[in-house]
Amino acid sequence: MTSASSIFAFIESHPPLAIERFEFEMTEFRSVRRNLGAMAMLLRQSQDEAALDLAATVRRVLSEWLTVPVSFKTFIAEQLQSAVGPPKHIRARWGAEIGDLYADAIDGAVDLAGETNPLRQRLKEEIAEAVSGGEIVRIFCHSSAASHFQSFTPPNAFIHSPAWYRRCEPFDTLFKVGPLRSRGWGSVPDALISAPRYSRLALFVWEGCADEEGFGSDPVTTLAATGIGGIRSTRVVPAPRAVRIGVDLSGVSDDAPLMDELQFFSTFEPKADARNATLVQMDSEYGILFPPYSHVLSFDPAGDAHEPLSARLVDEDLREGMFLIRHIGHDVNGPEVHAEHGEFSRIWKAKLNEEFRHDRLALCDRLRKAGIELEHLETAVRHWCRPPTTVIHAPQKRSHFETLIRQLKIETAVPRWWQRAWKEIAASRGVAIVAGVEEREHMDHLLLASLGELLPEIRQMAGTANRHFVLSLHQDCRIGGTALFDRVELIETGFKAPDSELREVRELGGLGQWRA
Amino acid sequence: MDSGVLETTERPQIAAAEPAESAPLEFREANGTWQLAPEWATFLIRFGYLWAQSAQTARRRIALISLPCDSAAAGLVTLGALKCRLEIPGANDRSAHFERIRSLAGSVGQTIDLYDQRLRGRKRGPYRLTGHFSSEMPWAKLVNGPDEDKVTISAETARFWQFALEPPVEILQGNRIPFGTFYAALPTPRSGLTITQNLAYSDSAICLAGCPAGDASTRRVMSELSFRLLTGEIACLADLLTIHGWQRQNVSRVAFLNVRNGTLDRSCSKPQIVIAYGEISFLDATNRFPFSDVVGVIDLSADRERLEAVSAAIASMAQWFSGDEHLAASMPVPPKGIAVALMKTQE
Repeated sequence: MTSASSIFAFIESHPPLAIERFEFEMTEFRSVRRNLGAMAMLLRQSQDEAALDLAATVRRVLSEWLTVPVSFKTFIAEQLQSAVGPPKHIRARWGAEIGDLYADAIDGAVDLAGETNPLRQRLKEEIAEAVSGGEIVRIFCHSSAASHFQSFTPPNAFIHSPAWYRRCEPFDTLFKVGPLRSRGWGSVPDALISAPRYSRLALFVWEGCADEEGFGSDPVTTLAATGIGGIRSTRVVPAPRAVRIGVDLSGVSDDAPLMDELQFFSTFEPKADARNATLVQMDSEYGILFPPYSHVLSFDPAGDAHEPLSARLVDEDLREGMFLIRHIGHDVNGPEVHAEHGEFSRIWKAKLNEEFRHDRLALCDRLRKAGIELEHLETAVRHWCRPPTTVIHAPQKRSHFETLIRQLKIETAVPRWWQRAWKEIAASRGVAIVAGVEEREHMDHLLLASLGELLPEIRQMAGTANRHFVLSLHQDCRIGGTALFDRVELIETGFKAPDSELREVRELGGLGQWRA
Repeated sequence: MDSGVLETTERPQIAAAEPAESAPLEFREANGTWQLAPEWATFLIRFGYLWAQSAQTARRRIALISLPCDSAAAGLVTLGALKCRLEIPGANDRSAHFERIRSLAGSVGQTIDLYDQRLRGRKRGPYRLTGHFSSEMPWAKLVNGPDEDKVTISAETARFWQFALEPPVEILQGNRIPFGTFYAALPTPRSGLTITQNLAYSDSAICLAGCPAGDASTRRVMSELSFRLLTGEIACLADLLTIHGWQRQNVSRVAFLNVRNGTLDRSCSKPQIVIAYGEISFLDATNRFPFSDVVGVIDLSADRERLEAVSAAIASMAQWFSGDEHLAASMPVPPKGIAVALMKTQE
């Protein structure tokens, strides 16, 4: 824990924060942005659920490109198509106007292939210069964006969440891609400006991407802005020094102002039943969204932990490095389920692996014809073949899973086999058995009491486990079943999601759509 | 006790905000090294002292202190206010305690237990208040004892009676809080006043509203900050605050609100000053204690939703409050990284 004295000593001994804002222009990228932005705007005008979902997908792709140093040498056109779909499908489904915009965006993205992203290039140079000058540098980005920085960033330089920033020792330079916004993709805490722990902020933004108005506010200075007296403060918010960097690949002038997409996307209304949520990320692939003030069972492996096993408030007490505990018990209507090597998953995964190895193309073709219309079906099937980790990897939709099992032609005498196998998957994802609050609290109480008796064993397993371990609750325990322990990698606020998305293990890629 | 707001005691004039003479008091945070109290800590202690010293009963005041990180800052402000109260003659719960006993004795159906600190064994209690022998003498009857097992409580003997789960109003047999030298050494403006008399009495005029994570978390943060006298004696901030639940055996000069479960460690619905640790506690305290002065100590690295909630609450208060420029001028200049807003209800 960073001491208050060290932070105050840093503030006292350093000059006021300096902000450098590198702003980039690139005609081809501007064209891609303009087309995708217009497409999202048109789709948002529809009340159709599918149109809104597609707008959300465009938002996700474009937001990512604007807030990470994406390499144009990788094929961003392919990335766009894999997320949104083939141009002919889009034209057929959404008409000529949207189809044309999308086709132009794809063309622009194809033109960018192989070009150097000037933002990425300058960021690399600035980081290299700072590091060679002996500076301690940090990069603020979401964990899912880290891969875009890793090739040119010192290890352990990342800050992924406000909580992470709070724990930081003072350092020299902070690098950030994308404007200063408190919500949405590339969001950062106001404390970067109101409570800086560094001397210099280097911002790398594309043209037209403005910082959020009022970003970095302090309730005290906000009050001062209303004209009320009685304020004592020596805080000064510096004006950024802007550096404009333009690259025109085509030579075609395009002076029309660009829409600020991130500002536009911030106006996307969350779904009607959406509510605030906090993401607890368990590994590089999965996480769970919890509503505010949720109590979660957790284990603190720290030797001096006051209560190693406890129901902790997600937003207050749970910390990165602790283990989230999920209980998989007996289902009165089905089999006992285990997330690791479950009775059913062993069988269908073995069969799936066998068929995938034998002829993956034929298998994918069969599945597609049977109704599993996923853009990257082969990748998805490869993913489903993997042994269980945090969850049993399987199709997200029940109907897809039913189709998969039917196509695998698993012979078994067990009635309602695929339904039971689906229950096993659902349980591993934490799909709650319908129970009242009181009953759940009672179950949690029993589980904590049972785990308390197994504390030495849990400590030992946590000491050797990297991220995940499973504890079977034996017959002497007050509650049966299995306890799954997943190390908390990251806790992140700033999501708004419908109830159906809460408290269940989900893939991180899909959770990105719920960033508020 | 309820008299915290209305108690009229002699108040010294607001001292000028010049620094105290170099305080022979060292300071250390968790795993840190001993050093003279740094400027940020000194400022907060002095702020608490001056805030308590300038308390008025006529106009409610709200203060907001923003800091760049989470810290024991609320505890330091509380410590400064505690010292100020120690210097005010008669600033304790003694008279309010008897008033509360008299009031409860007249209430039908109350089930609050009392203990007679002078006694041991079964006779110690619990007792229940069962009416009045005279207007100045309530009856206390031994629970589960025969009807004749009841005694009267007078203004003089009330100090021997302790409410269950609450701190004693007075330490008997001449004992007192053992931190007088620490309080005397705190870097507050010189007042020339003595603090020893009040060290034997509880006081409920100051309330610390803990962090939202609850009692244990608040105590842990306060325990990580320590002071050392030149004599080598060491006391942590948690001890110096004398919160009842953290030390049990002694009188307590600071009431504690556990924001997590909404419980107060004693009956004091109107503390004079509430110091709130964090944004949620500040919002809770301003609503829960509508007649108390509230100091909110907030961390600017907290989540935006919380800071926005504070901004919204302050903005809505602004229609009833105006900036307290006079008090602001008498306060020391905050060190870099700290900002302070002072407001009082409009006349």
